[in-house]
Amino acid sequence: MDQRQTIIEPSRELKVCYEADVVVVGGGPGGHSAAVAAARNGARVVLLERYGHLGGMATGGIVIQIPHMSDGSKEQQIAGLCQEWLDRLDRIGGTLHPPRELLGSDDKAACAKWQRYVGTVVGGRIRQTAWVDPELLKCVLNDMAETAGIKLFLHSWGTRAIVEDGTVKGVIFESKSGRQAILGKIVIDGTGDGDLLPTAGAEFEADWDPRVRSSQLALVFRIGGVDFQKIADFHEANPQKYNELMAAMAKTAGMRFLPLPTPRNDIVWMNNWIANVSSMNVEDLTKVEVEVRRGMLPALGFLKGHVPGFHNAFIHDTASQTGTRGGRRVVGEYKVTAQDVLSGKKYEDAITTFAPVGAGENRGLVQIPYRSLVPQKVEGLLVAGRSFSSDAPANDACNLIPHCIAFGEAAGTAAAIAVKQGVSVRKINYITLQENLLRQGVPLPGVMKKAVRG
Amino acid sequence: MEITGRTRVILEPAREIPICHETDVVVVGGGPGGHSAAIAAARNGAKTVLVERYGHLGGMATGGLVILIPHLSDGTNEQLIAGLCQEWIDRLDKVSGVLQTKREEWGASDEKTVARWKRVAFAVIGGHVRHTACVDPELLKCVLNDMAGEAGVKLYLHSWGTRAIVENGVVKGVIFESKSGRQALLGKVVVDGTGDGDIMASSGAEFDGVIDRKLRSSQLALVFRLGKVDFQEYCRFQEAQPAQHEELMKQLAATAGTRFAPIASSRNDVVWVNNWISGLTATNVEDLSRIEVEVRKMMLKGYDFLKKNVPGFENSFIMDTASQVGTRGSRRLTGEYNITIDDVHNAKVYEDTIAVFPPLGPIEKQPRVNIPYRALVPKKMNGLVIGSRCFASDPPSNDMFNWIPHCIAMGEAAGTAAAMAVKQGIEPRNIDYRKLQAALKNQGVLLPGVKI
Repeated sequence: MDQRQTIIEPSRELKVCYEADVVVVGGGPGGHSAAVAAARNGARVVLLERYGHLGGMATGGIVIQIPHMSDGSKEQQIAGLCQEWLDRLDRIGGTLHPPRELLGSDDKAACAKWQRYVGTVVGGRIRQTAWVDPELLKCVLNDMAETAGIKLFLHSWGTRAIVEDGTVKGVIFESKSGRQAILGKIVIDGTGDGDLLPTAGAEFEADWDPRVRSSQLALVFRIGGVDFQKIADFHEANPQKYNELMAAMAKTAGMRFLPLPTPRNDIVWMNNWIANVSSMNVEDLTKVEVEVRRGMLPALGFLKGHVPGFHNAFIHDTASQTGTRGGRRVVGEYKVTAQDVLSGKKYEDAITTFAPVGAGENRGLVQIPYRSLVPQKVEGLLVAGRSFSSDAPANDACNLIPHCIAFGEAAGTAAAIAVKQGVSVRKINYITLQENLLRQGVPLPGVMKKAVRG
Repeated sequence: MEITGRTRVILEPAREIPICHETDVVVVGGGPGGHSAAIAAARNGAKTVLVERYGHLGGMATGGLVILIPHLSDGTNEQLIAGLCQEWIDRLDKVSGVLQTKREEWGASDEKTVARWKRVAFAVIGGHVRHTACVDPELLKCVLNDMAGEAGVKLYLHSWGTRAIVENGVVKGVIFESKSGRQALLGKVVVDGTGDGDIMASSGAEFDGVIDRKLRSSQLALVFRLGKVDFQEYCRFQEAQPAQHEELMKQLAATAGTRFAPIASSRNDVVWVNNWISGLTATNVEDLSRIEVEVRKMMLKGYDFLKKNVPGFENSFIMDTASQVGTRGSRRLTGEYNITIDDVHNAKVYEDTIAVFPPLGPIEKQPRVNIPYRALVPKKMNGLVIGSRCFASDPPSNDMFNWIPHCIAMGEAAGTAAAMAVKQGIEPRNIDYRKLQAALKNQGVLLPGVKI
């Protein structure tokens, strides 16, 4: 046996295959939105994505629910690019969601219909929550990237920041063309896990309590040949029996699976929660793939045999991306805390406003400041997506797909402003950023004191 | 890190890479070739690690949605490709994950049997039924995980092995990227199962990257599946109105912008749609990006056309798209022996034959083809064996024998050879061919015509 603990990889020259204003790493909800926003605001943009499709968890992860876009009132708080996803999907029959006129409704019949779609009726009122088709969404996201003029590098794994004198200058990525470099004036980490933070020299936190949702991994799969309405009918008529069956399925499979609806009545997606693993550890990622696939077939067999609506079920597909819910969190110019979220703290640099995720809550809307996307230590870098600066519970409450789209849209818009003005991302004018976001259809209710809304 | 002026290169400094694991055999790539190499190596007693870029095993057969394993027999009643390939099928059969011609149907030429199976691509060649299997990609992923687990293969999934570690002309391991960062794996023998020969190329082993644009192997695909079709209804239409079918397929291609071929799956309500995009290269990131964008656009148009115009597709929908680009060929090793198209036409036999393949065409017109072990061994580099489609061959011979069953067979041989080399403490090029052949036969590899 070799006694070495390490090997020396010799120094070498890497080809710079592209240069741009803004380099976005990761094409999930955050990264894609950052790239689209930056490009529409005039920056030359490159988007690097590890897989062959865009959309991250919303497509490759088969997390095909975009919830909590409104708070149970008639107002919709999350719109902007997130709304554009839905509008574009609507045109090709790729999403199911309540019509806008039902937002805030407590109508009994309407609520009874939408109650079946988890997260759509919260506290007895209808919220904007969309169920999306992942394949059609991949097409929509490609179209958005293409029409915005983004240069795409797919099947390209950006792994390392290029740093000079405390400023991020680009990234190194792996692809079938070999290890290459891309340079940019600003780099946006849209990896979700904050993969660039360690090599960028940015400070970060990655502590997760294994009981917290965000610490848990999944391998989502879809089951076809089902009758979702029949499943829901049975669930509503026999809640106790249904719960017993789900518990028995979990026992058979060795893990809990939750059937959730899709835009099609004949397909459900199966969410799951594997604890005590990390999205930043290759051994854990391997383990999830093996264990969930092992549990999946017994679960299917159980459902087919025991649960109404599943009689003709089969495995439709499994997610090509591991379901990850949380990773590294940057130490930013402002760190959002759980107390901030609970108290509805307001910021002069708010870039998005959310409905609180939890049910039956009367607390105010949640704001997120731009400063939480800006690393405290390093120049030339922004984060887009769930690695915004936050403590673990605050992150856990604000790292779902619509939130990441909102962060990404703000990060990309900010990057384009910084490029245009030739200033550091930490020095851009918040008001200009907010004005641009408002123009892009980001609602920002209660944010602007000055008369910029016209 | 230093950015060097206008030369458009940067200097990445030297650095220490943690060695995360040491083992006997390191296999890079978990597709048909690499998976089979890993299983064979582990079952032959080698401590084996398998590094796979995606989260699943099976490569083109699962992630690529190329869900057909054809040409396992040659139109007689004799099977030619078995071994691990047959084990895939047997295990899939147990979980209802395969549609296949029955053993008693192999070689049949009667009207009824032929009529049934000609609806499945390549199941009838020259009027005779062949052993052919349509597989469920999701169930196959499960089967391949089980095989790896039972064989004791240590898996690194979501792990992209990109670079050989070479010391004094010997491959000592690989560097791979994962969410744990850049790490190294060391092994006594490395098997390149990447298909594209990524490890081979980075090791400095000689290879040929010439692409013949006329060949199937030069074309890429992004396969997708359509659900809620009635495949038998589509076939009845195709058979009853062949001219109209042909016209519709032409219109489909014109509408979509590329040719799309709906192909049978293991389920009547699912088809996979194959495609052939030319002028692109499997080892070029710009091309791989482009195909993802272009085919997805073509898919929406093609799907819409099928749904509106073609019987059997009225209720269809896009079920999924392949997570891996459909690649058919790229680099080819310069080996101890380089197979030529003349060898194929002349039915050359070798003293080190490790696989015997049926011809793709009718057996009356083309002979069976032997593959020598030396085509898996680099001419110059030590410590490395090839376990997939980049075996040493000229473009036309590679084009014929780089399909899924062929890659399984070559992988099984490569893994078995790697384990023998480790056990005996010798270079893979120096193992005893007769012992390799005997071991393969023991494993159920058929090798007709090879006397032990």
